[in-house]
Amino acid sequence: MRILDNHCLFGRWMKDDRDVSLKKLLSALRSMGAEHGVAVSLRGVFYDHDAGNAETLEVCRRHRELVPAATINPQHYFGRGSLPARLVRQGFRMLRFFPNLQGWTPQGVVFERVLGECAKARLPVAFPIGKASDLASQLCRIAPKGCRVVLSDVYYGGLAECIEVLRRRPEFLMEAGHTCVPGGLEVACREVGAGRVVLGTNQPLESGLGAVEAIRRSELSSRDQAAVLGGNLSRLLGGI
Amino acid sequence: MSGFVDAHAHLGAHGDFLMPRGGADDLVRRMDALGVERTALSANAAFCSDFRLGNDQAAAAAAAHPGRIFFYAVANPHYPDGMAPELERCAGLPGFVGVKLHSTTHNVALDSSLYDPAWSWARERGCPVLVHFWAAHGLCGSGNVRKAAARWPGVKLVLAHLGGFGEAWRELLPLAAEHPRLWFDTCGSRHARGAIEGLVAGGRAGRLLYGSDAPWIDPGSQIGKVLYADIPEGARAAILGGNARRLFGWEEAKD
Repeated sequence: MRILDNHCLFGRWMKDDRDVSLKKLLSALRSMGAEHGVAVSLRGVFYDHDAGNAETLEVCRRHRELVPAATINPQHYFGRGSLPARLVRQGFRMLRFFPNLQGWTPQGVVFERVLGECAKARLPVAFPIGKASDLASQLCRIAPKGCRVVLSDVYYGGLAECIEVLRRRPEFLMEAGHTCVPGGLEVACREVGAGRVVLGTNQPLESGLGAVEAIRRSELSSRDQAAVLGGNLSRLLGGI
Repeated sequence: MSGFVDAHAHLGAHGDFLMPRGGADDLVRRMDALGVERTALSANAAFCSDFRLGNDQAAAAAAAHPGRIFFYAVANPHYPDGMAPELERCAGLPGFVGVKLHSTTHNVALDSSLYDPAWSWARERGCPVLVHFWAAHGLCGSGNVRKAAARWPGVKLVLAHLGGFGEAWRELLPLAAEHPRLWFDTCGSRHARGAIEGLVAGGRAGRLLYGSDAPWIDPGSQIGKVLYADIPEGARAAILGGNARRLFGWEEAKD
């Protein structure tokens, strides 16, 4: 089965001594047997999204196993043009947000604007949900019709809410990788369909092997496992 | 030219918020408007993202504005093997004046042994170490400073921000009494009225350095605090430049 990981980072991490270097990411993807990882430069998260996006593109050109994901920091976004449209032209396949690391919430109008521009540009968006909260519900209400949002980093506390959001928004997907609780993946696939779940592991910050193994040893059919491990993400990204 | 000296500034973007005029040219324009001759800065990228990227940016700014911009090299404690070589590399570049440590962004206590390579290097080189100082903080507070200063007594240690908001500056007086080699810079967004007057009255005029924290804070607001402080003119001149020239060994450049 092909393995495609939607949630990968590389660069420097300044809060502790975790190795999130490009070298570490590439070896982590190899060790979990992943064919591709959708990757973002941390330079774009902690410093400047334009500089980080440029680095992401350059790195992904050199390493074909990486698929470029851009990022936009709404706190830096005030121009009049559509950056998502430009990002699509540059070859980005995904836009990932980092509200927790940058200290903002999805309630701002700048974020709402970016989602609208992503919908228009047909650029999928990944947004971290984490523990139980109303973040998925906020996205459900804020994202314009046609905006393809991947609820990322879904922890088991937020699972029921994400399922309800996916029912209401047929263009939304969710990541499996941290749904932890026994049966969580099966319940999600049963309720919203295995075609709506993609692998996202937060490489190389966290272990991806456990997430892959959880899917492989789940009660899902082989066909559904293949969809979750890679098929759905390949389709979302326009064929990888 | 013998203008003011800004001993604490930054350069470039930062993920936390928009800094629309964070470039070196922007800073120099503001320096010109305020009569600031020299600024010592560290790049935001060096502590918020990638220390080599940021240190290179700071060095490039110093090279582009010789005699106006000087730089601190940032040491990242999460790359312990790289700290001393990186500082050595930066020390060989024009405009280098010292080391910057930022405990809260690195999430490492100032007195942690993780910073030892940087402290040790600075002590051997005799260059100042500027540290983020927030008096009540558990990583970069008064307790951390006391331990670090006791462990590295020969280091010229500069504490930033007058200890943080409000009345935190009062913490500086006992610290200065215990460790007479400490220096303090004046930058901060919300200091209590009378902070600079209080420190001067407490006998610390010779250890205060004007700092702007630009582009986090507009230098106009910061220099105004010193220009309009109710202190003797001699103390004002020392804070606005004389002390920094002494700290950085620039006295000969006065004329």
